[in-house]
Amino acid sequence: MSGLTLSILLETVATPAPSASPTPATFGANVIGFSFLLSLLVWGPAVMAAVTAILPEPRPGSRTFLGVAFWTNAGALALMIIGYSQFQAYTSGLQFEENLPWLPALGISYHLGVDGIGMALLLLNGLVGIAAVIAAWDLRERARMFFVLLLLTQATINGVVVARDLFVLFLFWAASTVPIAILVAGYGGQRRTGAASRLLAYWGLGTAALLAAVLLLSNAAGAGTFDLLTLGKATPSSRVELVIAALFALAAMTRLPIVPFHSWARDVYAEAPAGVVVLVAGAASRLGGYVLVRLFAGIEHDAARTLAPFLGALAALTVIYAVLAALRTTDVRRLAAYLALVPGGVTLLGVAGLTPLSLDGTVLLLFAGGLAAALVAGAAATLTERAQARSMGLASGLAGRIPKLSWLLLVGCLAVLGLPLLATWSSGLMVFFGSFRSQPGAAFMVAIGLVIGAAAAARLMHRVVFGAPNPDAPVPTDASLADSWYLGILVGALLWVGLLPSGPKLFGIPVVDPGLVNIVNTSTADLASTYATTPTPTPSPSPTPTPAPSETPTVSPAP
Amino acid sequence: MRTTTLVPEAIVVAAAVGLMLGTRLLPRRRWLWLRIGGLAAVVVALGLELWLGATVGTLFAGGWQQDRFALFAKAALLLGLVVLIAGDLEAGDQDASWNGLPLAFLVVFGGMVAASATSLVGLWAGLELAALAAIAAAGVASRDVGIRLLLVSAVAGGLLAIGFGVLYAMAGGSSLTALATALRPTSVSIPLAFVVLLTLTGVIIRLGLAPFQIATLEGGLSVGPLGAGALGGLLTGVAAVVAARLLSGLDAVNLAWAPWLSVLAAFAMVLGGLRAATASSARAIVAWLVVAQVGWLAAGLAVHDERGSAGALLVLGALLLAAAAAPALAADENGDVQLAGLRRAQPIRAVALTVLVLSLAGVPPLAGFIGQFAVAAELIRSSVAWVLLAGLLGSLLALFGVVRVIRQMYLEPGPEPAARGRGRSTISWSPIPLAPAVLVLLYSVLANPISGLAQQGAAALRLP
Repeated sequence: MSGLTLSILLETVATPAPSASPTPATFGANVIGFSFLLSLLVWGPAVMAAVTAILPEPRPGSRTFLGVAFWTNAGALALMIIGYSQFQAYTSGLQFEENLPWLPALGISYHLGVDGIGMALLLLNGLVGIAAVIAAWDLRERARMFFVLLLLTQATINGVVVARDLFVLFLFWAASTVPIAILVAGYGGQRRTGAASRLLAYWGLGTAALLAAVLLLSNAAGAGTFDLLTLGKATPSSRVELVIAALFALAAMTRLPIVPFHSWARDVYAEAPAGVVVLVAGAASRLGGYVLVRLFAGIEHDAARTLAPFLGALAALTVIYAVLAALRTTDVRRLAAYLALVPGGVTLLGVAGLTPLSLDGTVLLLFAGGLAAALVAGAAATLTERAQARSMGLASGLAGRIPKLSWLLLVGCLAVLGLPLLATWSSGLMVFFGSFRSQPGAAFMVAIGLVIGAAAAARLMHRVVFGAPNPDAPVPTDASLADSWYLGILVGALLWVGLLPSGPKLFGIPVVDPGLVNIVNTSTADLASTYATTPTPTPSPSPTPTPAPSETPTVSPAP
Repeated sequence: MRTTTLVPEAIVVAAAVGLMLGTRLLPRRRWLWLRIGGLAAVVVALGLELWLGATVGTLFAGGWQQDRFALFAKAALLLGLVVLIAGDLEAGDQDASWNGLPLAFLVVFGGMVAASATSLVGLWAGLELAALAAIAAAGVASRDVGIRLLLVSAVAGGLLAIGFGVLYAMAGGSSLTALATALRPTSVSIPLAFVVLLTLTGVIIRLGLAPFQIATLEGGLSVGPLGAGALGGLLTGVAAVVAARLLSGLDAVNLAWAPWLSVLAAFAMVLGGLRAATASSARAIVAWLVVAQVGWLAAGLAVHDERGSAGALLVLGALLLAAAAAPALAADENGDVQLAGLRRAQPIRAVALTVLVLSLAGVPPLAGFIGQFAVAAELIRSSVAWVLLAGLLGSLLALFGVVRVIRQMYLEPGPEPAARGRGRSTISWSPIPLAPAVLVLLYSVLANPISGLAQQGAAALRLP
């Protein structure tokens, strides 16, 4: 089954589909069309955050704020799924595009749009967002503020993904820092203040780097605009390009996170409550990978080639460091936090690979790695909370007493390391196969790291899950229904994409899901065409060429 | 051009006089109506300014100029006065506040004079009037602070007088046009640079640019909210207007002042951010955030081109809105407002303070961010990236202070609101503090027309 999945993936990537060829449409495609879908996904959560902030104080014990956040996320996820199913796969260019002048004097426009890469990230945010809300099911104290900040964070994350103007992208990127920092500082373990400070410092550094890169790129383009399409065609001098690419990489690495910019993640994943951990590990940190793919590899081609070996080395360093640190620690949450760094390292390896296959794998790994990191860090947070212990000495032998959480943690560990059948496996293999050609040393080291990671996970399982129970440990309680649901959503998504990367088909026609790999394939093929070492087949002219959505006039919402 | 253009100025002066007389002639129970009347007068003046002031021209044989720069500057100052009065309404019924209010009107009047000035004399008169009025507004709350500020102001005034005198002698006239004509890039020399720096230092002290932030900072921390708003908000705005006009006249010799101004701007941004990160009280954080944002403003002016000045004007508008109102929201009758649990005790004030502090720190998508981004873009374009790096470092540091303030307000338990009998609690739902926050949000939403107006204002300075 796994071999079949991989062969489908490799076949799909090896023969990227031409941009304008007619393709079998998903059943039900184009039934509903939105010209303002993306704005709704960005501003909907923000508006609901404002609504949550001004709602009258509910009676004690009620879950009013959670309800608002849940239904907002459910609505957003439903819209994302509709958008995902309406998405025209095998088609390059932007879809659901909105373009309005915003600050013409500064060359800034409100330009939103998604391609396959953005759609994958949007879907990830939707899944992770609803999981994060459910993970906070038991939150009673200061719930209003928690859900306001959570919704604001989701709005900003969606904003980064759909922004096609670098000013707008930066705006949402920077805006996401404050609510997450307050979430970490206000909720969680004893060392939450330190964790929030670290997060603020590293993310602030990344934000400054991103701003500098955006301004340098805009200045180098000389076009007086921040539109990504225009800036993507800019040809700055090689020196400036190198600086811009390095700044993009720095901004991305502070979020993904990559050693040596990782210490915020270790602390946040180990201290913050499960809902925050899921959101940060699953979605917010993946924005770093998105910037690497979209801006670093997508715009600065020559500089990306120059910097690729450094990124490869950092990827190897990240994975090796994370798994060695996981081997040493006896704190369950810290161990999971270190393991949650691994997908980021593999993602960076994929970008460093700079081959069509590795980049395709990177985009899929952004999705799968986000789910896996959220799963392992979230499961550890919930497990230690239910076991009332964080130390391996106390939290031991839990398989018999809290089986659901124990097994979910096991699945999380295996997902991070790339268990066959899960989405991380296929995407990880694509990254490895793609990057072994261009970054063999780094890929080899990352592979070694994953082997050591398996040992770290085995140690965790041996002691915490299957070890002898500690008689002095507090009595643990197994996962609640909410815990099972939020972790189940993450596992389910990992399995779905792992088993059906091209989506289910009925008589050769995609049903329900057009397939994530089909959604991202053309976009990554376009992105990777610059890095292709072998000429890609020329698309045969279609008898009735369908114009790409970006070329068709778009209906923009009224200002 | 008709003299009706001067109606807004006349309204501001009349309101100041009316307030002064009213507090002496009317019984105290009716003073609230004076404040409301004053607020209405400013709103009317603002409306008339935007209507009548749109006409470009000169009066008094060229001694008074109404251009887009004057329009932007006056509108921003009047908006600053609106939020100052709104904040003062929240501050309560204090003598210092009543005595200081007419003086705040005079600060704005001084700024309006400076905004339309075409000569060094006009700039000097406007700035000195504004400075004296602001110091008096602060001094009515604390005589000692007033005296100290007066001494600082005397030094600044002296430097300005000497500098303007020498510039007048060199240019052969007091008009800014004559100054721009007389000074050529070739005329840069050490004596000229010394004079220019001397003059600029006089303005910068009033501007509150670090390390000369003593006027705004000390005012912000040691006097009442109205005095603090007048010093840190309005006077800073007036000084920025004077600096923009003066530097347009000195543009040919920018080599003499631009590097120095850049250094000070960078220093202010870093120092302001650092101190905001480490400050303990809400008022101190607000004061240091103002210093940092003044650094951004100065960085925009130091670029000495049209787009840089447009960015500086955008920052000026955002700064005036936040800096004039924030001290009133960060203070109560006992001094510093109790941040812990403010969301429960005074939810609207907490929201308003959050918006203002975020704007001052330049957090997107608020007004301060829009201005700072415009300046940052010009810093990169003008190849002074080191100033931008300093600004980014300052903003990053300021974020720590901002997050701390927000966390205290929303997540830390404060004292329980005391019951007031019959189930009524002492939670304050006064909507007044919301006014400045709404204006800051509107500034962000209307960034497009405002940035257009700022660009026209900068174009009126005739910079390259």
